[in-house]
Formats: sequence, structure tokens, C-alpha cells
Amino acid sequence: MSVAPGFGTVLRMTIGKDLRMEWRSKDAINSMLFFSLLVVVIFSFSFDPTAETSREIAGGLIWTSFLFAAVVALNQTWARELRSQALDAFRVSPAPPNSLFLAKALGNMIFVTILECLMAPLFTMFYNLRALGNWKLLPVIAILGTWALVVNGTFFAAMSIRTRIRETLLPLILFPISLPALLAMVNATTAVLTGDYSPIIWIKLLTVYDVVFTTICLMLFGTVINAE
Amino acid sequence: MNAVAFMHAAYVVVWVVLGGYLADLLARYVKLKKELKDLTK
Amino acid sequence: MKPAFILAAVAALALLGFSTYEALYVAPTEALQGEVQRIFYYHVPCAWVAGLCFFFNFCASAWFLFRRNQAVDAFALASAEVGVVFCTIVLITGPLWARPVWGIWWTWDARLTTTFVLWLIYASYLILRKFATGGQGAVLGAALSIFGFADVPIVYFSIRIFRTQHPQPVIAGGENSGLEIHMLYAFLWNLLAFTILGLVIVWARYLVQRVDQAVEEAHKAAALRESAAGGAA
Repeated sequence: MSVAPGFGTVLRMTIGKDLRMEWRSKDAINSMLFFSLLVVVIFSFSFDPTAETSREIAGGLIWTSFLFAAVVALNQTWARELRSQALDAFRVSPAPPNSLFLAKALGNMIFVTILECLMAPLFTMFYNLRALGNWKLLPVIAILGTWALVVNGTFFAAMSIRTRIRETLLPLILFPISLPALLAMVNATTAVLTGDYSPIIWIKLLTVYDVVFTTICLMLFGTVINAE
Repeated sequence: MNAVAFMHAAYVVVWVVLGGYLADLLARYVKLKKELKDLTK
Repeated sequence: MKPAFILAAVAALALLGFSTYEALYVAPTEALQGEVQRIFYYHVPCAWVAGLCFFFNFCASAWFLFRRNQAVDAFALASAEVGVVFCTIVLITGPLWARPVWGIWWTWDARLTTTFVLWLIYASYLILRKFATGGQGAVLGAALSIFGFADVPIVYFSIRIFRTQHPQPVIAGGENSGLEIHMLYAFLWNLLAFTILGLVIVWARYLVQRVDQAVEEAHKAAALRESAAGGAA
């Protein structure tokens, strides 16, 4: 008698496996870090802002840098599975597909959050940032914003990996859909840094975005993973 | 460039884009029909 | 090609000819904007058709995810592609109208930005479908379409919020504010003409897609025959 692995079991095991493999090779986190750092440097030379301007544009710069780094992480999400044909094995197993999706999304979430924790002090130093608003909201914005990118990104990465242009397609389909979330993250961060207006409405928008798209991703993942 | 020129340009753009698209569709249709005929011969 | 289609196509073109005549010669010249305002008679109907096409695509995509019907998928792709064509027209004629009237080519307000994002989402849909391998394109595209449909209202509201916090000089009132009766006629004729033309073009693209699907099937059948013959030999 075969027993289908439970949702929680698959979740725990997949995240554990991904984190262990990443810890051993540190492929993703290294390339993400380096890429993010390069983006910071390039932007510094492009803009060279005063303290005033720094606070106004830092939100945009930080999130652009995190977005590009997240794409690096997202692209390799499924590559590993594809290489070892683990994806096909998973499809024929009775394990619930959503557990795989959530595991991958949470794994990515952990990677990108680690990156953000490492990059945030660097950003603060390079742009001499000081939050004039309520700095305690920044972690909230970071979590909501990162999840918005990661949840759709993990889903779209699963789609784009099955096309002829693979990694190239991911940003093409992810960025347009993510625009309102990006707008919200950037504005919320700028609001906290400059203290000029309240970030609350943006945080609410991010929450709505996260709820809507997490639901859609969970509803459609099974369909997409079993396509052909 | 006076304002009326912009208006004429806009109308021409619409005709050119739609006309071009329809021409492309026709070309695709002819090509595909031929390919289907060859395959089902 | 089916006679019904040819009839519809001829009717659509005739109607467009008549409505264009109405727009260019019969409708009176607008007091404030002058002749340039006549772009409105093409621009707004095209925007309406683009929106209609994208709505059809959403419905067809949702239906396809429930019942995997090839004809429904053909309709989904057709309406998406034609929608992008009309949306492109909107994004070109819009700035051509804005520049002489308001002095700017573009502004990042809610309506324009949402139109542009809509174009980006559906362009990415077409790219996804083009490069998907095997029969997956239909399912993957349908999924992306659902995402896109959910996203558009969020895009619109996010930029509305952005513009209340960072206001810009407001562009003079909506195009439909107080249309004079003869202008309304010209507008409605063009709305009708473009709707019918749009439906005809979607129909045309649908027919092309059906042939494309038949070719795919024929290729598969040929490959199967070859491998069976090779195996038997």
C-alpha cells in the first residue's frame, strides 16, 4: 500500500534539501551578492546624489538591485530539478504539487531575504542613509515586497524553463506583472526614508497583491506543472 | 510640423498597421495551407 | 475561404470607409483643439477594441483551462494577438494627439501607464506562446492570461494612488466630456466600424490559427507514421 507523502512532509524535505545543496555550493547566493553589489556601484557612478536626493532615490535603487538579484535566484530554482529529472519524478508521484511550489517559493524567499540582510547595511553606508520615517516598517515592506517578487517569480520560472529561450523569458513575463508591486515597494521604502508621506497605503496594496497572486499561483501550479 | 499633420499621420498609422497586419495574416495563411496540402498528400 | 467571412470583411471595410468620412468631413471642428481632435474618432474606438480583445482572451483562457478545446485555444491566441495590434495603435495615436494639443508626448498617469502595462503583459504572452515547446504553449499562455487579468485593476489603482501622492498637472478633461451631437454620431459610427472590423480581424487570425493547428497535427501524424514504419522495418 503506497501512502502519498503529506503536504508538510514534502514541504519540509524539499526546503531542507534545497537549503543543504545551496549551503554546500553557495552558487546562487554568491552570484546574487556579487550582482547586487555591481548594481550598487554602477548606480553610484550614474547618479552621485546629495544626501537629500539619496533618500529620494534610494528606494528605487535598492529594489531595482534586489529585483535583478532575485531573477538570478529564480532562474536557478528549477534548473537543478530539470538536470536530475527530479521534476518528472515528482510529477508522477502522488505528492501534492502545491507543496513543491511552496517549498521552492519559500526557499527562494530565504535566499533573497539573506541577500537583502547582507546588502541593506551596504546600501546604508554607500548612500549615507538614515530613515526619517518609521524604520520599523522597513522589514515589513521587505518581507511583503520580496514575497511578491518571489511567489510570481517561482511560478513564472517553472513556466519559462520549459520554453526554448528558458532563462531569458523569465524577466519578460515577470516584470510587467510585477509593476504594481514594484511601485508599492519603492514608494513605501521612499516614504519611510524621506518621512514625507505615509507608507501605509502602499503596504496595504502590497498585502492585497501578495494575497491575490499567492492564491492564483496555488490554484494554477498543478495545471502548469502537468502541462504536456 | 503643424497640428493637422499629426492628425493625418495618426490616420495613416492606423491604416498602415492594420493593412500590414492583414497582409501578414494572408501570407501566413497561404503558406500554411500549402504546407498542409504537402503534408496530407 | 468561407463566404460568410468575405461578406463580413467587405461590410467591415465599407463601414470603416463611411465612418472615416464622417470623422474627417462631417463632424464639426472642435472649438479648443481644432482639427487634431479628429484623432479621437480613431483612437478611442481602437482602445475599446483592444480592451474587448483582451477580455475575450481572458474568457477563452479560463474556458480552456477547464475544457481543453483546441478551437477555444485558437480563439484565445487570436484575440490576444489582435488585441496587441490595436493596443499598439492606441499607444501610437495617443502621443500623436497629445503632442500638438497638450505639448507633451507622454505622461505616466493611470490610464496611459495601465495601457502600456497591458501592452507589455500581452506582448510577453505572445512571446511565451511563441517559444513554448510542444503543446504547452496553450496551457502556459492561459495561466499567464489569468495573471494578467488579475493584475490590470491593481496596476490602475496603484498608479492612481501614486498620482494622488505625486500629482502632475491634470490633462484637460476626458475625451467624452460634453460631445456635441454631430461629433457623437461620428464617434458612434467609428465605434461600430472598429468593433466589427476588430471582430473580423480576430476571425481571420482564428482561421489562420486553425490551419496552423492542423499543420501541427499533420506533422505529428507524419512523424508517428515514420517511426512506426522504421520500427516495423
